[in-house]
Amino acid sequence: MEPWWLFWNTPAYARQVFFSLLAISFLIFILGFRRNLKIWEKGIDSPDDPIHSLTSYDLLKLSIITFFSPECIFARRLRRISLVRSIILVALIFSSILLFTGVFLNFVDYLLPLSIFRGWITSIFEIIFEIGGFFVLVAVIYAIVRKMIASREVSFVSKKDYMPLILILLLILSGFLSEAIRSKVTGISHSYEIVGDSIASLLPSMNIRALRLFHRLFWIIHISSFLVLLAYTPFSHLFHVFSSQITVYSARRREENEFH
Amino acid sequence: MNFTRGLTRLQLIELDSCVKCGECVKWCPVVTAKKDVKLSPVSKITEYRNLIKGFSKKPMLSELAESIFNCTTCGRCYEVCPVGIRCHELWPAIRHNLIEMGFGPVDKIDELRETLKEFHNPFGLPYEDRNKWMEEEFEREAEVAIFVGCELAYRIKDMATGMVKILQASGMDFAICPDEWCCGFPLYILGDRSEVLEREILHNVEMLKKMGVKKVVPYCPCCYAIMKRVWKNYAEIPFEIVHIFEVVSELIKDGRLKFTKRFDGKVSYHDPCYLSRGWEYGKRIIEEPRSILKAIDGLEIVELPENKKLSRCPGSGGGLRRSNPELSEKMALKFMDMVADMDIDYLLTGCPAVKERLTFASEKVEVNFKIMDLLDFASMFL
Repeated sequence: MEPWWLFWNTPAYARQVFFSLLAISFLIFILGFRRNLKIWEKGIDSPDDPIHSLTSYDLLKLSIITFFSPECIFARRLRRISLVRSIILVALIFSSILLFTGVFLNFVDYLLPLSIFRGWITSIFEIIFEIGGFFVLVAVIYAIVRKMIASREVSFVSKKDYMPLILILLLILSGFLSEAIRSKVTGISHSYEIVGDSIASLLPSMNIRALRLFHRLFWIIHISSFLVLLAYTPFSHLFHVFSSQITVYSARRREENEFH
Repeated sequence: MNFTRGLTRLQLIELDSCVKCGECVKWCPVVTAKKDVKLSPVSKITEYRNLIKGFSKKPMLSELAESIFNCTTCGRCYEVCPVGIRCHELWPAIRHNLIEMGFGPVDKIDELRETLKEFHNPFGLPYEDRNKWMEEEFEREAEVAIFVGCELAYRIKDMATGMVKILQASGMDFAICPDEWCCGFPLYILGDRSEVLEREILHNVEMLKKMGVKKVVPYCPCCYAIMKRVWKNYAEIPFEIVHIFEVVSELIKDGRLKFTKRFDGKVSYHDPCYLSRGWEYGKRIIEEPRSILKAIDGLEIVELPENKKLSRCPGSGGGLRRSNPELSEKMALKFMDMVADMDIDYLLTGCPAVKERLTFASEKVEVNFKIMDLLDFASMFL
């Protein structure tokens, strides 16, 4: 296995294109994020609010810290309403954290390079990616189906609401498919790659050239969906992944005040 | 148009936090009654957020204003919201913005403002009739003052008399405000932040300061909510604000109040929204009314299908009776449909607006129980 398998089967210029697009996407993300923070800053700093006197930087810090609080990470407020949905959300949160951490570390390893991803460390991350990806896939399909059912009756679901979910779905599916093809072409597979290996075994017997071509297609879908998702997040309702921790934190603080 | 004006930072963050899960749609009593999802919290949040961010191509402000005023601010959506968005606080702030721009029931609010300015009650009834419900004078020096509120003083007088009977039976020393004005709730909840609102609040605070009381006890949940939550923004509050149910349940606990008669029957209690959900920063008053009822021998409490933190509003709050009386009536009838078949003798409540709505609905829907105020009911067993 190559130490940086993200760029397997891609021409050298693809890396330059990817990093250029990543920079643009990240810039759009930062600008969108900043715009949202500017809107927040227009609000009155009420002494009644648990976030009173916090600066935008403090709010950002609070958002990150409270994301890992038991209230958020175990979806406690949602558990009061639906146990099933809270379990799915918790699985989604943990899987996303694992996937994000894995990709980030791999990225750092590639850029520096630290050569961390060798031997058993790679195996552990592969298992993590397999499990994480699978849970995110299940959660996203559940969310899409739930929205489709809801949209039959209610008007608050717009076509735009599907956009982030479809991007995540494409990201995960193309990730699994490109990994399965890589596994089939290189002949390197592991028994613990349950999803990837299962997909690989289902792939029709094509010649290597055709498989490599399909790999490139899925790779482009994988990278594109990630870049679009990154740039789109601050402009979509997916921005709640940064703001909702603050409201959950405030709700908990209010309830603590209430009972003490 | 500045859509962020008057909103706090947390409220702007709340608009960004909605995950569009749609849980609020299932629980919103307005949506249940009107069967229009555009009136749901999630729809209104999405619309308003799009306005702030400039995503709305053709902002339909009059439509949005109509849906934002079609809410009883009962706060049930907050209880079920997985991210804790407080629409009951958000809408009054947005309503203020909308009426400043000339949208919403501006005429009705102007009329209400003028009425309060002249009569100091939202009904336009003579000020000198305010304390006519009293059978004797309660103008005296005491540490505790009862804040009666306009609804009890003018309309639902049995609530006021029932409360006084209970307090007298306990031997507690109390005074009744001699010169009470409107608490300000009807204007505040509709988004008005005018001088009239300020004047009503400041008058009451000054009067209570002059009385030298340590504790002020309201009964009406709307009065209680605004006193706890808003008054402190206008003046320094040198007294404690405690709801009458807290006082009475404490009197029972201390053995100062005892019910001597039995009641071998079943009652249900409707939790007023601003009591059971605390209307933010307030204490949830859920067990206190039940402890008062439990003190009556033989009485059996039958819980309503939707109760305590998740009790359903029968269309009485949020200024809806004024801004959209037809919808308010629909909600009351829908509520009555839910409880009409219950095998109970009395349906009790602790909110004058709820009592008025339920009484109205019971005239349209056949029911086998009587509707009464909790303390008025309890006073029968002294």
